[in-house]
Amino acid sequence: MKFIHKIQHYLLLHHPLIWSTRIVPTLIFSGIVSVILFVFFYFTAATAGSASYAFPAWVSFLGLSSVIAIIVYLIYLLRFNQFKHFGSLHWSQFFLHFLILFLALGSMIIWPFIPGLAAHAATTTEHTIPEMEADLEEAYILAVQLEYTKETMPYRMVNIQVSDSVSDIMTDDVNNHIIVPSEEDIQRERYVKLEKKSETEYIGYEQISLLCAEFPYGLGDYEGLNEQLYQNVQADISNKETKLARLNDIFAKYIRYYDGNVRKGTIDIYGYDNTESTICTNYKLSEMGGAMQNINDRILSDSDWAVYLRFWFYLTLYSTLLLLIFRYMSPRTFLWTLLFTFLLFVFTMIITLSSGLGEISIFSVMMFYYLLFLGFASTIFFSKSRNVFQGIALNLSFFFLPLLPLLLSGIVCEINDNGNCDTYIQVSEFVGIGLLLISTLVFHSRLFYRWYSLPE
Amino acid sequence: MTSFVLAIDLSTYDMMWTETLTEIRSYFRHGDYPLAIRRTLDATFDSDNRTLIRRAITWGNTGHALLDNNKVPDENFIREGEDILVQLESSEAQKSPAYGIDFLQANQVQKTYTSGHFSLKPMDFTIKAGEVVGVVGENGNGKTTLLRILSGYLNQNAGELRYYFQENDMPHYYRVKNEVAFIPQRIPRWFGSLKDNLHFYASSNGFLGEENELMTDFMLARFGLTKFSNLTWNQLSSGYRTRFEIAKILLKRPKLLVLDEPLANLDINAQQTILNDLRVLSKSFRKPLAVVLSSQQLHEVEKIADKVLFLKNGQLLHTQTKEVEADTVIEIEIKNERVELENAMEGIHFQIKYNGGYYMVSSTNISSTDLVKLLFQKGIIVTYFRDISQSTKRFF
Repeated sequence: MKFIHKIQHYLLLHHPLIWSTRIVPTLIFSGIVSVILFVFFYFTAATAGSASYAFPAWVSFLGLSSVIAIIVYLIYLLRFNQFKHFGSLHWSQFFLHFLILFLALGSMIIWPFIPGLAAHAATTTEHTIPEMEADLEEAYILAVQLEYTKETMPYRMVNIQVSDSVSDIMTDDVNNHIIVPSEEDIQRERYVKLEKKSETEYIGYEQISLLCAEFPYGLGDYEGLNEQLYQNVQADISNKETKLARLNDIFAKYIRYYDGNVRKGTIDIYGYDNTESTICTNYKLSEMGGAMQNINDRILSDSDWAVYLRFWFYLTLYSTLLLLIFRYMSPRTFLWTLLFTFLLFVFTMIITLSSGLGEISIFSVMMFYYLLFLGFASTIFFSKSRNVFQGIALNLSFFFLPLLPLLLSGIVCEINDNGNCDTYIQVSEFVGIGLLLISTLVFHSRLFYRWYSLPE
Repeated sequence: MTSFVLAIDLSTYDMMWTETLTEIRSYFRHGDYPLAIRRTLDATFDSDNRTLIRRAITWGNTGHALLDNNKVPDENFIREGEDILVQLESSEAQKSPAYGIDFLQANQVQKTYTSGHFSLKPMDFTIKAGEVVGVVGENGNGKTTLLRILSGYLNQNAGELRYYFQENDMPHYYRVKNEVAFIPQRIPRWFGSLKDNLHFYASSNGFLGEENELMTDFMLARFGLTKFSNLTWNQLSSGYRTRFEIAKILLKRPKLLVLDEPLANLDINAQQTILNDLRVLSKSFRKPLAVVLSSQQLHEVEKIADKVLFLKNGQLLHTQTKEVEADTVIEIEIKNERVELENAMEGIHFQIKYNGGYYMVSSTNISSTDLVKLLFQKGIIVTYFRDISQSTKRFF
């Protein structure tokens, strides 16, 4: 604490802006919390099967904690604001202020993401991703085979086909194929067409569910997995013991407290077949399903990482912009801005829905709004007194600046009817951030300084 | 309008450096230690000698501690004070060339609120560096409006305010806010310790590192706040909050200090201390400051003001800057009946107004001294008397 106090005192005497934002204690506190969380999740929740249920709860709890921490931070921020005391400030202070707030908020907003990060780190440290992909796929196939090789069942699988929609089940029933429609179409319920075992037995469709071994198909290519499934089920399934042993290996590998027992299903004393539940229980398919699902969740692919990173980044960015605006604006105008934005949103939605405008028109309206705000905000340079409307325009022109290039790309994409706009959008995002940074240095900083210093 | 004389003690305003030091020595001689400490600190600050300032801070804090404990400063303390004064003599401070320049010119400035219930009528005046301007008037007559306009917090509807640094028609308002410090009547709440706040304001205004420490310690010592350094808003009385606010605002190094009713809620001693501080600060040798303050304490304000602006119904009724001939106007409180008072003044051309508390007697052909003599001769029992011939009080 003494060390922090010394640093804070030094900042107070030399860098009042940095001191007043409490960035050092905030980063130290957030850093400690983040490290503790990371270590905790790295060593506990990473591979535990039951964690699949606890995981969302943890994320929710940490999200709530993050919000509370930010509120406390905001209360502390209210204490000192160098800008509103009209000290010796340079335009670049606005930019520095933006960066500091981004860091401070980002360090707290990241908390709910830490379990995922830690679990990913733990999982990938223990096993390589290709290895886990292979095991996951094998486990899935083994589980399917286990459940459909029950001795008491009047039929057996001979074939599996992957279909893209449920409707295919109804049409593709002539070749004694088992049809597994795509996961998305039928919300993870699997339908099979079963081959009859004898002339007297029932032939038809049965909804099957891998009651106790539900987990995602895997990390890799969905189609590829089904292809493997298809090939494996076609193979000889008589060597069940071997398959069980293999499954046992996989259990032992991924389920931390797996006891290693592999037993066959039985018929109970009343003659009821409890093979399925016995298999589920004895081979801990539920735990395996949970563990596999966890593993699958935590082995984030590049695209997943991009989504999470983007989510964290934009959440932090817009929280920072909101906070920065609040610190450089009178509270009254800030609140008017929120109300105005809400009303404008509702008004635009009503107009858009009632007139059936296309995407180009909607984007154009938004672009018109933005240019209007920017133009009106620029009049601050020539104004002799400040007013709420200019303040609102200034706030909105600053807040939505990063979205301006995205709007433009949207319009260009729509006009060119270009279905693949990913590149445009990625470039637009970078350009938007660049524009924002430049503007915080040279344009909006001046507007904020000028607006706030104008007499009422 | 009837002319009148505004009595202002100008004797100390044009003091030379040596005279200032002589005056401080007289405070020591007469045992006015609080005043002597404050003035010595001011003088060391004017000298710009950091070693001496640091020494004076330590010395001043010792003095404050002794006085706070109701102890009379000993020989050593007085000797060290004298030693500081000797050093100050050898480092004569040059009077700033900024003295007397027009910091602010108001030409036909007026303000009408959109609600239309009040308007400040067009007015002209000038505020010079090193000048104390009092703004007086009854409640609701536009004092706060005027002060907010001068400070750049409120825009006038018409007319022009021209600051000394202004190059274009429109001033750079961030600079206005930077150079004009405004202390509102209700001092906004602050958080953290008093000392941290002073450090923050000092560094925010360009005093970094050791200079920051020095400036903060100086302000704490100068305003007798050292022992309250670690206290927070809740732990300070109104008087100390006002002192803190002035100390804080001075760290901005403003050219114009605007205070709205700074004497409200202060006891009479605190009022005198603050007013005296403002007067001395405005006359700083090296950093003269224009001070504008509004107050209901007419007599106290008029004692320190170089200029008084009297507002009535939003109109600048009178600006008085120098002594002029005026009718005799006195305030008296007597134990006799009004008839007896009128009888006593028989043969003199006079007017009597009773405002519920005391009589306001004005006359064109007798001086205030002679008038009082006459009343005593006629057996009138006077329990209170004040000559307001030169005061704006007569307009109330």
